[in-house]
Amino acid sequence: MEQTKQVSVVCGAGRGMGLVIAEALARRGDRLALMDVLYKDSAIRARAAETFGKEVLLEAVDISQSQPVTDFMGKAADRFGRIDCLVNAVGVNRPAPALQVTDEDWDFTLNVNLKGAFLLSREAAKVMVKQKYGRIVHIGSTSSIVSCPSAVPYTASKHGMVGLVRALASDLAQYGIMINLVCPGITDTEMLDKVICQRAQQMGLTPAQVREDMQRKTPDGRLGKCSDVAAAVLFLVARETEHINGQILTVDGGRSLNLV
Amino acid sequence: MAKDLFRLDGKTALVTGSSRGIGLALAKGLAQYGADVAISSRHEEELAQAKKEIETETGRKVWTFVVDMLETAKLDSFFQKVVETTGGVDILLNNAGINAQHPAEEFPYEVWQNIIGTNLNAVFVLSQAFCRHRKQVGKGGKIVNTGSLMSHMTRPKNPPYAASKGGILMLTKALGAEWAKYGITVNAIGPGFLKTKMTRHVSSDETFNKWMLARTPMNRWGEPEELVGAAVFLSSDASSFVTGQIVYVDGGILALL
Repeated sequence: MEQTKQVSVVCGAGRGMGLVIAEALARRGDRLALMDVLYKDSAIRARAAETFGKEVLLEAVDISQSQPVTDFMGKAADRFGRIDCLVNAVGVNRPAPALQVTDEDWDFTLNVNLKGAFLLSREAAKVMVKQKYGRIVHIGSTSSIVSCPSAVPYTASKHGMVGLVRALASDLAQYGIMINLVCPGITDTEMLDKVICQRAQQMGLTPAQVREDMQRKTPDGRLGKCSDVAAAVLFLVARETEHINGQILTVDGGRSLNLV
Repeated sequence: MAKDLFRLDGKTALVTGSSRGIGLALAKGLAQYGADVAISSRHEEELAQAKKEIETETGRKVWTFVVDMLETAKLDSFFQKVVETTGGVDILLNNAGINAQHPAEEFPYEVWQNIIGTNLNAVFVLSQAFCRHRKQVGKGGKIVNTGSLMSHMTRPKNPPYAASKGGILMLTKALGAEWAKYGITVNAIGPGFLKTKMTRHVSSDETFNKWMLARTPMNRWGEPEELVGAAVFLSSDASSFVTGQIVYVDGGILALL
């Protein structure tokens, strides 16, 4: 599908899904404003500058605070004249059994995943309202609809994103803004490697065995790729895609429907 | 003392597929809470045994009816016979169900029809008969359908079972919404993995057992008797404002990926 070039903000663009999504938007011809706390690392920042070219806006932003988010959206709007799309691929998780979750774990996870998603949406939407046009996609998780062990704050934050997206959609639809949630299943990223190692240790298995088990439980027999998620995001942020609002699109190879 | 919302004294329940397994446990459970019960299945001897068991344990009246849910055209007269024999049916538990497993692309159509016929078509026809009966009596009533984990998720080699139980979910909503005006509530129970004759082929399989226990947060098989609480709730005044719902009794499976 041929897509119109737009101005896009991607949060969490330093690696993993966010990076692949930003690259896909760059291939579409978008002008980009990218956020990631990883850009504090000068090597990662330099690599991003090389990948995305001179015009790109790169910044390490703490999205759990409103001022830095407001500032960043202001800069993006100044540089590019508008903000058409916001994609939020940030997600933090501190796995721990329920009774060992600290107040700080809870606050950190909810502040980044859920409050961050709200602040990004609000500040981007302030620009989008003036344009009477906007496309917002947040990255949820299958943990937005079911739960996994040892992930209480993560699951709560990702379930919360369902409510956030639905509520924002009903408030902002009148301004031509579409807000949807893409929920990846198990996707092959660095974050997953960590999870696999942890789980292998807990279960007394090798990481390869854990990975095989994950593949076997997915009806199409493989783990998700970042590009699978990017394809869904690209569809939902396209100017050509209209009238889809407040929806949850699960991209998990059928995993969450398969009782295996 | 406040009225016990969960008592079923003076009520008569028809529980289909109740000579064993879940149906027998539900019929006995309703009887323990004061209902008289009409039980039905294809198996005359099993029914006689079940009747004795329920009567002995609960002291309630029990009637037995031999019926095949696949003979759809005869279900209306079957229901009339139950009404005439018992003096009226207040509660209908559509529980009769069958299953068979084959790879989807090779699934014999005849078997598909039998599963859909028993698990879905019969439920609709009996519910229609029940509704007409309740309208004639001029009182509301209670329908409780047996759904499944497969009302929500699926497992390989089960297309008709999943389709029939997914159908139960939506039929429950459709009838619940349409018959609310007659005071008839329509709800469903979604059992998880329970130890019954129907699941014996998997409960005796070590690999399955290991998987199932790991997959179930409560880490054990359920017993058919554990559905009684939900069935009594959905059959009694306790659920007077509840309709179109499914209550999963699954040890937490559906909460977990």
